[in-house]
Amino acid sequence: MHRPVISIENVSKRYRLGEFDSASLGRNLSRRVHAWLSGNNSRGIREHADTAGGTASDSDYIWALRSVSLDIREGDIVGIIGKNGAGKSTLLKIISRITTPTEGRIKIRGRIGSLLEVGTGMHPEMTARENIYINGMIIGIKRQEINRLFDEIVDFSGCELFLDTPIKRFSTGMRVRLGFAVAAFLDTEILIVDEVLAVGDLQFQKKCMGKMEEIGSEGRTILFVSHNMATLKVFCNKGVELNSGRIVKTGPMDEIIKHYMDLNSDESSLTSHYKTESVPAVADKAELLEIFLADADGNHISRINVNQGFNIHIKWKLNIEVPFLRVCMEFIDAAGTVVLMTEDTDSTDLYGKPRKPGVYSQTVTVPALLLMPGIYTVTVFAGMPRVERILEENNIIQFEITENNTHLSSVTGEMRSGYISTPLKWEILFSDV
Amino acid sequence: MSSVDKETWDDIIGPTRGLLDLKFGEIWKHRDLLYMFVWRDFKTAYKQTVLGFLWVVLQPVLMMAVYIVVFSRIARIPTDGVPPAVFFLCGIILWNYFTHCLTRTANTFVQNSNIFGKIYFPRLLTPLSKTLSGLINLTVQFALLIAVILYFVYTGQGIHMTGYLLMVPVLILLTGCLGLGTGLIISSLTVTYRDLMFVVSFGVQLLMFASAVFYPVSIIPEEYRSAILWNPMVHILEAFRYAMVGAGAHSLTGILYASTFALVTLFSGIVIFNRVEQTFIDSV
Repeated sequence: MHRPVISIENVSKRYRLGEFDSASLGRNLSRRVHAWLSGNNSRGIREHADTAGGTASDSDYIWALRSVSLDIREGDIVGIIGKNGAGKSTLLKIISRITTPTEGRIKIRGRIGSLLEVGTGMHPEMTARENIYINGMIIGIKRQEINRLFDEIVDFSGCELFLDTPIKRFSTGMRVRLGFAVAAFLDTEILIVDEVLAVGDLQFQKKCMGKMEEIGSEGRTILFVSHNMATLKVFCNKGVELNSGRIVKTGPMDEIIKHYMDLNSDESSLTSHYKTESVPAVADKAELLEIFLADADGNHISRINVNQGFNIHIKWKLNIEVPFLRVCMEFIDAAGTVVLMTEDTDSTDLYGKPRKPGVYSQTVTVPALLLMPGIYTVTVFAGMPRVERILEENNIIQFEITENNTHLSSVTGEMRSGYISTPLKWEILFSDV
Repeated sequence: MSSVDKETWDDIIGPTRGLLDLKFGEIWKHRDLLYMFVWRDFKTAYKQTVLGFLWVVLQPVLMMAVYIVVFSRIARIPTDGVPPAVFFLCGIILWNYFTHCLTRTANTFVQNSNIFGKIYFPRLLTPLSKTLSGLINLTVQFALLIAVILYFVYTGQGIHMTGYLLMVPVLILLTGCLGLGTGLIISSLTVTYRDLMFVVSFGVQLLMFASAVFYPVSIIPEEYRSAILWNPMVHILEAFRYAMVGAGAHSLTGILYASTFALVTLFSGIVIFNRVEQTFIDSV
């Protein structure tokens, strides 16, 4: 068995909530003055004491990590999964020494390189050549190493023609390529990677995946955070599942993914119904009141078979009159890809017409055999295109499309690839030779 | 597992480092990056300006011209018997370096929170690089000063450099230490108290009036003199002028006082900075 290269012992991280982060002398003072003016001195002083420290109660803190212990061995490629806020990024940040743990310690053997972002430290005014050096040295490549690898890096990035151009003239895609090309040559024994692969065009992504596999096969240790289960499955041999700052399960990646998916497809964990209890006193221009899924009979549901259609009902309030508006909905799959976007002006005669203040109840019908089986989240937004978004609720509800004996798997027993489950019409001509 | 566990580890990350665990070795290891930061500062400072690097020379010259008109011609402030041009220029370039070190380092955490949140490198490199890039400007302005002095020497206007000239590198170093130290302390405090960012910009202006930049200490009435001598920059500026043009109330005790002040400030700055850098990212 390989020796451990990272040993995480009882690590906890506590963050303080609330205003403390941006405490300012001004705010503390203004509170006092305010209290003094209103004659309510005692209350003002107490509030002041609360923000100034010392008397904070437990509810002012949040534990991003709680007693996490884990050994990572040489050559392991570990995928870390968990919902947003489960503590994945915090763990990576502590191992990368960006912040310190509140309790516990982490012992490390070998050099750590972390890639929490592509192109850290690059400056738009500097040329590609200079940025290769700056970025490379920031992430921990020695200058002599960059000298030696320079041609390879340039070759990988595909920027050879623009080496002496300031990167502010580069497209975002080109900057990302440049950043990734540098990162790909970071050769520390331990590598920490946070979803940086989800960038660039498809061709470049493939190139990056190839490079990652190559790095993995060299026997280096990699810690990888991603929401993309497919990527994790391909790369990682070990998995760690985090939930609310604690390790839920460790083991082979396949098992962890399965466990995670099962856990998250519990009826209870799918929030397929959103409804606001109270309308805020200071009204926005528009607010979402309710959104839920219903089947053809009008029953609230959170999962439905792929061969059945369903409706999404949305109720929202417009507080001002707008000359032109569209309400949009996006379906986002587990990998974060927007699979479909729909607008209420698609099939109504509202296009280009003003809308009056009031409460709108709208229903969009999603036909059967459209989305592939899987878990989706729904993002809702409304606005005047290119002018203003007056409503935006990201990932507000989730639903699951399930699969049971349909054309999708009936032949081979294995799920098809792709994003759309619609059966297409085929015509086949056969002639016996 | 038990046998390999006994092996030594390369690094241990714990809740907090010791107060004096300053990791100077790490800075030395990252000296290439430090050099790179200086280069970046230098290259990007005058981007998209028509006159570019010329500003480094232009700024003190314009300043000097204004000082001559306002302080010398109008307010008739004496300049210890040396031509006002050199007198003011001495003050301007050293004071420039001090403010460069102070103001560029005082916003270290707030300005770099983005990059500090993504990657680790010794945080001290950032303020250190600002101090060094200021040195580039200072060198150019110093050359300007020498040129002006040579002109006055050539035309025989009673300027003499003194043996104190050998002290000039020390005086510049002290200025850098003082600026950097103060900047480090402020940058650490700014993490919690953003108000300080506003204090810095006009605080530096106010401090200039108490720093003998455009007047000699010799004209200060006796009863105020002890008050102004608390300011270490006064000693440094006077000694600098004495070294360059032979005018100024320098004293060895003054220099010793300023040195002690600068080193204590720098050291406390580094200690506080080192403390704050470990967890500041949680609160910006």
